[in-house]
Amino acid sequence: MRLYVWMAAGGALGSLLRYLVDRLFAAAPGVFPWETMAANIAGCFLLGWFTSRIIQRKAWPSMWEAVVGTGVIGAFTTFSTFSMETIQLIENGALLAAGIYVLVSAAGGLVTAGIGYRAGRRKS
Amino acid sequence: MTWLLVAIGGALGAAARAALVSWSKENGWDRTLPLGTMFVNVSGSFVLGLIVARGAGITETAGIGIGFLGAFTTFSAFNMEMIQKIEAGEGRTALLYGGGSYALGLLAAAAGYFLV
Repeated sequence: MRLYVWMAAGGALGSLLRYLVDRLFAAAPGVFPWETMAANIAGCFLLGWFTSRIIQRKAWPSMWEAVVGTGVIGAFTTFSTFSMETIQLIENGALLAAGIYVLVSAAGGLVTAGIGYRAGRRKS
Repeated sequence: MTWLLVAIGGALGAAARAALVSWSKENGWDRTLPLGTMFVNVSGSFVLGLIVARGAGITETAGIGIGFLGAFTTFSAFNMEMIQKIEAGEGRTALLYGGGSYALGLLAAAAGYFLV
């Protein structure tokens, strides 16, 4: 139970950070939603690095892995907003932007997660 | 006030995701595909479609849309699970998981937004 309370605190922090990115960099409504994309791609890199550097090396107590990995980073990134923004771009007739948004998010997220994972695995 | 709603929603959303994903793992649903994460991402996209369609006010948008559903669904864990499948030599499973999540997530958001 205590784990879930701390994970919730991590989720609150991750969500606030995502909201902060959104407030600071949000473009006008209807324009390309690059702030969600930036948060998602950055979060993928962080979780990749965190997985190999902290989780797999058992560098931290397992509770803190969950608080930061599942809570903070998990909540910082979002899939629902990504889906909804894509649908709204399609509804507005911005099909090219919708296509670019999905492709760049998908490729960018996967590649940066992989880069973060490899970077964290390096000996130092 | 908006910040507080985002924080409360985010706390509940992240805890709900963690509970659901660990339940899914414990009950053997994640053996081939990470179905726990797939479920939160697809269902969260559907509910966000519903909320946006009904022209939600600031309380709903910040608390449920940005906070709860934003944290309930996750993009980083989803991509990391694909990387781990690829690292394990299960490229096809990764492709199925990724393609399936995007297709179902977008369809679910559209269904919530247009149909209901």
